[in-house]
Amino acid sequence: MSDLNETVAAVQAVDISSGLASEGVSSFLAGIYSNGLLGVGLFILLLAGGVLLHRLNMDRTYRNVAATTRDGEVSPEDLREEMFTRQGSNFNAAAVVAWMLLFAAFAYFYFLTPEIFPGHNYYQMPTLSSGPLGFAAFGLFVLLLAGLAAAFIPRELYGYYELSRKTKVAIMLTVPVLALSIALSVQQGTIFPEVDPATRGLAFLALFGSEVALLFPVYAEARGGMR
Amino acid sequence: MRLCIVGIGGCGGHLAERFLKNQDVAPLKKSLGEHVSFGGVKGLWLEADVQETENQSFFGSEERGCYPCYFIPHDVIVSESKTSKLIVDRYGYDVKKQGFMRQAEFLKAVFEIFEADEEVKRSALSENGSENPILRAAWDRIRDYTTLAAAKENSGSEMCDGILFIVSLGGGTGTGFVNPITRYIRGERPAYPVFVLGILTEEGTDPQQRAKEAKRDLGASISLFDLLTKKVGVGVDGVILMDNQILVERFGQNYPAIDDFIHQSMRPFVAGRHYPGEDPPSLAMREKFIEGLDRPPILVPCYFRDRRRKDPEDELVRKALSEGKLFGCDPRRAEKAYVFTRGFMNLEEIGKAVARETGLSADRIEPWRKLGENGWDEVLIILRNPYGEKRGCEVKGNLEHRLHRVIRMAIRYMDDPESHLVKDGMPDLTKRALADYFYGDDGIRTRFEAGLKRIEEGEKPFFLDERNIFERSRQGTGAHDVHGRRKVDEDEVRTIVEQILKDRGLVN
Repeated sequence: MSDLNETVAAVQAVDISSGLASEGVSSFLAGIYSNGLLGVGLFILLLAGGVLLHRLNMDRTYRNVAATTRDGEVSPEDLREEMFTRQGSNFNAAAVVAWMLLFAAFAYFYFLTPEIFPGHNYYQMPTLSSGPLGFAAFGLFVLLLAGLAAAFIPRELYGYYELSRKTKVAIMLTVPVLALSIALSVQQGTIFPEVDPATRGLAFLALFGSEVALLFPVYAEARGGMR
Repeated sequence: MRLCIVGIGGCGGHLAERFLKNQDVAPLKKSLGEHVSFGGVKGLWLEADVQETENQSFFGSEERGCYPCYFIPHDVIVSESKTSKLIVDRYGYDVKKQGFMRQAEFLKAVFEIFEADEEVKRSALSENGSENPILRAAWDRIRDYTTLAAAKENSGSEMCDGILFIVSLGGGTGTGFVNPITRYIRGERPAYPVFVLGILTEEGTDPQQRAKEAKRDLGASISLFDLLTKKVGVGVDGVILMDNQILVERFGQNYPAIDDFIHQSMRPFVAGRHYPGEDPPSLAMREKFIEGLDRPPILVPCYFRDRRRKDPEDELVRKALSEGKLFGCDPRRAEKAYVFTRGFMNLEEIGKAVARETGLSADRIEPWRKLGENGWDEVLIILRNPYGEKRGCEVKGNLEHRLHRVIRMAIRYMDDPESHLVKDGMPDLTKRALADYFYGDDGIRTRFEAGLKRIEEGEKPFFLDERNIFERSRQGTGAHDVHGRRKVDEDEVRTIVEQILKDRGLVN
């Protein structure tokens, strides 16, 4: 009988500790995603890091080529031309869409409902938010803003790296993942002022997971170059 | 350098698939955009066996406009055609045969018939518009991917400036087809760069087709003999040899892994992303390969790759020339070394490292550098004719040792009464020609024996003069053109053309 009691107590202890752990993770996640400044800062930091590392990767390639060239004279334009790799139009199209959706998902997550930035969000525009196509108009507006940037980013960011098919698949998969993030944010907008933490957390993970995947080739090359 | 990859036969097809794989991702299995291959290579698969083409999904039918595509050259001959019937009746060969089951001499004989028999040529010309319709059709398909294409839809820089045929030496289709097609191309383009990558089948019995080593070695010997004895400008510009025995010892019977590794080891050769100013056109590569030679060289690739680190040249070169040989050889016997690197490497250091390992002077080492990928450094060293040691055939691991064995096995197979190389059911004309080809005083057996002696003596090259099956049986008379074909007079051409136009309903 005492064995049974011990077992029951042990099971309860495990349940409690795992419950506490998942609760801890959830509250940690909620702490990050509900902190607008932290989230936006992280988003911009990852982007800026990617841009900076891309520059560093290009510079390092140039320096390495110059250092192994007899007189050290290499035309940067010629090197860029040689470095450029065609990744394929399916991939390029998906990458442009993914980058557009990344910005759209970011805007939907942080600027759709007032809970994160009460002074700067979609609900501050009553005409738009009261209209039947408000959410869509908001998204299209963001897509248009992001479209120009997104059209150039993939060419510059992926054209100079040898991407494996697995990396390409991972980047292309961000399209449905980001679409999911947008859909979940829209759902948050629909049920507002109620908040569903689980959906919110999932949308957050989809957004930042995709951002990491989209920038992965740059970070991976930078890591390889540091060896 | 941008190569047109032409896989011939089963092995050639599997390898061509690796080279031509789309680097783009097609989510719906069908790419909506342009096909992007590694290094910008283009190409196709030539096969004789319809079933083989149906058992795979990578290559689509050329007739349906697929890319990458397979093409069955023999399909241009209709079963009931006069040409087909003529060849069966007179020579006993069925040009529509599906696959050649390790019989290199089969295709060799068929294409020689098209070159030697005037009646067959006339018949083919009237039925197919070409004296040698099978090779014509194959070359027409290949040419479309090259800078020689008549209608250049793409810009010239995207077309291939050289051809790399990939075959198994010891198979049937690849072994038999590679010589006739290269010879045919040469008839039209004596200086267009054409290289061959030949994979010598492993020792022992082939587990898939249960083909004995000796039988495969006869096919390999015939094919190698034909490839290496043609003069420069008539034959190929280099035969890159790989030994499946080495790969089987490394990967076991895992053939897909072997194919992947062969492709990986050839990537520095076909890759783009060159160091600025270090992108040789295929023509320059051809000149380097054949410089000072009157016959095509044997080229042995040695490959190694390692994680990127500082000053990698020494280690990479040393390991490539020791652990990375894809055909046994003595690098110190090489006449020249062509080095293709991927990663950041110093020209002088590469030269010094190769010179140290091979004893070659700096002017005999030709390095070309390309940018690497994902933190890897790679080196592929192609050694020209790395053999020629007296009694080198007794040293295991030498090129002489392996090829000596292959030729000895070929002779053994020829001497085996059960081989039936001259089949009873064949017409007398063919039987005489085959008997003379295999066993005549000046036949291939005698020449193989002479080759063995030259290998033992350490002489280069070990095969000397080309030998045809039908050269003595049936020679046409009259003037010949560059293909060695009789020139047809003007009236004859007019009559044939009129007949073709009438048959196709273009004139009444």
